[in-house]
Amino acid sequence: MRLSAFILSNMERILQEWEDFARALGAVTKSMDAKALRDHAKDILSDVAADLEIYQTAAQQEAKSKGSVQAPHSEFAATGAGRHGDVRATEGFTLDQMVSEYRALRASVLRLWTRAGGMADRSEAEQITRFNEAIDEALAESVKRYARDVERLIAAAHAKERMAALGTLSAGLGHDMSNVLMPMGVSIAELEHAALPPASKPMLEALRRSVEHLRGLTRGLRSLSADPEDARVSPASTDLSTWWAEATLPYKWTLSADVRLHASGVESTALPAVAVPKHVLMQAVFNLVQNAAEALSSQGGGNIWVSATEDRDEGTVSLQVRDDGPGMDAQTLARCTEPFFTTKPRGRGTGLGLSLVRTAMERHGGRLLINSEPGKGSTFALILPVVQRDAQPQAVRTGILTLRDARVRAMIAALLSGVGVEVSVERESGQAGVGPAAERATAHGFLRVADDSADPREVLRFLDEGGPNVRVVVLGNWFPTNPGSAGEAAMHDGRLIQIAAEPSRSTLQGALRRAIIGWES
Amino acid sequence: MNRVRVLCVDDNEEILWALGLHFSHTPDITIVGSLSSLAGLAAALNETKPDILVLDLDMPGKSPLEAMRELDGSGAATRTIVFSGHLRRELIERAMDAGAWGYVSKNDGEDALVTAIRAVMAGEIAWSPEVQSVLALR
Repeated sequence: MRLSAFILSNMERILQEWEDFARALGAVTKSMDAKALRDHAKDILSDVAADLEIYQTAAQQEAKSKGSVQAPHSEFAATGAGRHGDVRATEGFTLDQMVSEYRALRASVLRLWTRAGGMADRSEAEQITRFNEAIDEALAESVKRYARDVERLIAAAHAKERMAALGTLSAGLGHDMSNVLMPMGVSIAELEHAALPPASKPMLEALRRSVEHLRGLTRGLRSLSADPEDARVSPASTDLSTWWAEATLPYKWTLSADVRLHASGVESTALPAVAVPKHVLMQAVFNLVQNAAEALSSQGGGNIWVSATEDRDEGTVSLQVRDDGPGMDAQTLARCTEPFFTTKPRGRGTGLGLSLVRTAMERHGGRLLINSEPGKGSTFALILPVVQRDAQPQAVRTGILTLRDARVRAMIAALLSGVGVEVSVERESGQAGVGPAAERATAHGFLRVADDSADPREVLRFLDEGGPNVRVVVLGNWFPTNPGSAGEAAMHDGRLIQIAAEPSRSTLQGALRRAIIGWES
Repeated sequence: MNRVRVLCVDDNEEILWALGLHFSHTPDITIVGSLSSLAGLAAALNETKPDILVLDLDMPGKSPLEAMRELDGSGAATRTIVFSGHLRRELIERAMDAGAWGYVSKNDGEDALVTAIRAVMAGEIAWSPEVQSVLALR
């Protein structure tokens, strides 16, 4: 019997096998009835049977085998097969589950047909069936991985979008809050000095504290919503002695009433600074607190303790987030920092939180340690490297400014003081000099920034006598750098940097950075 | 002692009021004018010749950055300090490029503004603590 005729005359048997297979797919089909399980299968099979009866040229056959959209009779999309895809997607089937339905359908049709003597040579038919099955298995595996990867990419994109939206919201909120809080602060200060009845003192104190609270919250939200990969959002280190006071507000703000947050040692003002930027640390601990809170909510509430202990021998601080939640089994514990691993329901967690915390810590020389047992809660410890307090005194770095424009001078002074360069301004070219040779030998660097109020011969002498640590930034093209000159040679080896006479702040900043990097390399 | 003459521009009347109140208790600073828009800025600058212009960045109408560039190019002795609730790095950098001598976050408060006014009068560039953390040369 021809295959198309076999399909049409054995429809019910084939549909029953399809239904049985769909039912065996597990949780997703548990509550579905036969009609839902057989969704559009009859239409699809009828379409297939009709398709088999249409004459195909060799070229058409080849085009179809390559999945070309131009292939004739590929209008399944508009019929049962297309609608079946829509239905399965809304029912929550994964892509590989849907593909496996088709694999099972093909296998069962060919098996039933062969058994019914549909093909003269049964061993050849079997080979075709086996071949189809093998290709199908390979396809299903690829689809499964593909679908998983697409899902992960979408989850990551969503997480990023949410952060960007939060950033915009926090910036806007910060702006509006400061416009309200500034006048409030001034008014409270005014009232504190006014002759008011003594009973109003505690009220004013409460108002003042509230304004401070909201200012802290605004700062905290800004740090929390900043791009963690942007190193310039906050300084490279966090002073732990003041950090908690700022961090605690937004953390508490996001917890539900059944979760209590306790600080234990983390509020100590004796804690050192650690080499992790504030916004990175705030986001890492926020992730840990959120995870703990979600675990606690699943058991009806509980406690979170944030604590900090310094290990002076190791030069680290262990910042711990502990909860009395359900804890994790060994398998979950082993996998919980893998990207996209999540135990939360679909759509709730991205599975990125702990992985991001671990990556952020490692990027800044820290570590994430986790301890957990079912029924005994979980402890997440961030091991943070301490910024060395007793480091060698910084080598002397001096900046000498010979500049007419007061604002440019002030800008350079501000930028250089920010990185620990001692700045002196000279009124007359050469007045500050390069100091005695002994002083130069111990100095880490000399930087001269000059405009055309400086004497070119004197600047050249500065370059010649200053030694290898001398850098000169000149504003304007008054300094001779023609071929063969000493100026050209200094430019070539990076000791002389020439910028515009009226540079923008970014040009200035770039030139100063290049000069300073020169010292450090 | 010569008091520092300050002109304040902010479309938020509460901020202007609060600055007036705060500076009235600051002996070395006096307010020579308050504007709630940029419309009368040129005339006010001409008339009052302030030492310091305290300028908000988020105002309807003409761009405050453009106004700063004009002031910077006019050769006037007035130095601008931005007093803003915005802390985006690119905005701070654009304000500094437009000729600002200082940038103070409103969240750092009125005392930070007073500190900045004194620093700028002493010939320094002034960034309030929140701004410094954004702009640091690193």
